[in-house]
Amino acid sequence: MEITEIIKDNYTMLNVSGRLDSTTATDFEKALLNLLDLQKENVVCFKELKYISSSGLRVLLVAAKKLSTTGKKLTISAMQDHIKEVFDISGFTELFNILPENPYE
Amino acid sequence: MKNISIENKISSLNIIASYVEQFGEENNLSFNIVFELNLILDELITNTINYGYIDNEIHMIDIFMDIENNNIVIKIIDDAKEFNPLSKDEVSTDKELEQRQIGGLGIHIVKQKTDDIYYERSGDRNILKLVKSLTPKEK
Repeated sequence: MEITEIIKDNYTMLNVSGRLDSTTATDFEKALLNLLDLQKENVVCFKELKYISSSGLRVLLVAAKKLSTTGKKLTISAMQDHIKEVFDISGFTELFNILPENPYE
Repeated sequence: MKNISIENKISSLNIIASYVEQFGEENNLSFNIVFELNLILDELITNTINYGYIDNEIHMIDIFMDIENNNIVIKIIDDAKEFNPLSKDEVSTDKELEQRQIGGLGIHIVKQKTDDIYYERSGDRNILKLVKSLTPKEK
């Protein structure tokens, strides 16, 4: 897994590529929670993400729970179909603002 | 039949990923099926590694995969403490954010992505057999 952070004046974005599983979830969690402290608008771009397990979903749920009390926003963008399917069967699609394309590209 | 023995450490997941990849190539499986097989094994083995052992010894987990009558049959044998994934309560995936539980999703995903699961405790071993049909389902 590789993570690129983009920090702009009005939003932050994490580009996550490769495999998000229990071997990499801790790194993702650190990067995401760190980023959420900074901005109101936050985007996680999964365009290059090839694989996600429940360990990755868990991190997103932790982040969403943190954000729900702060009024900050977390958008997940550009998921490939097989990744989106994992969100769907886990009931995660309703929990996040999900966009088919990256809003800042 | 293709089998592999892995150690009970999280880095073994990378070995599982290449093993599944190879099995997929040898059997001409689609990208989606390979992804789902990887996910099934990942969720189960991660659970076993994280919660199954009370000592710090190295334990081996055996994984077998085969195709029989257009079904993929997976068998996982370990000497972890007794754990029957079928006995776990269903996690609720339609609750509001505040009530969502962190954890338990892995087994839910496994159940969604397989057609049949059989569990047996034999001596000090968990024997889990999973069947995934290759016949396309009507949605």
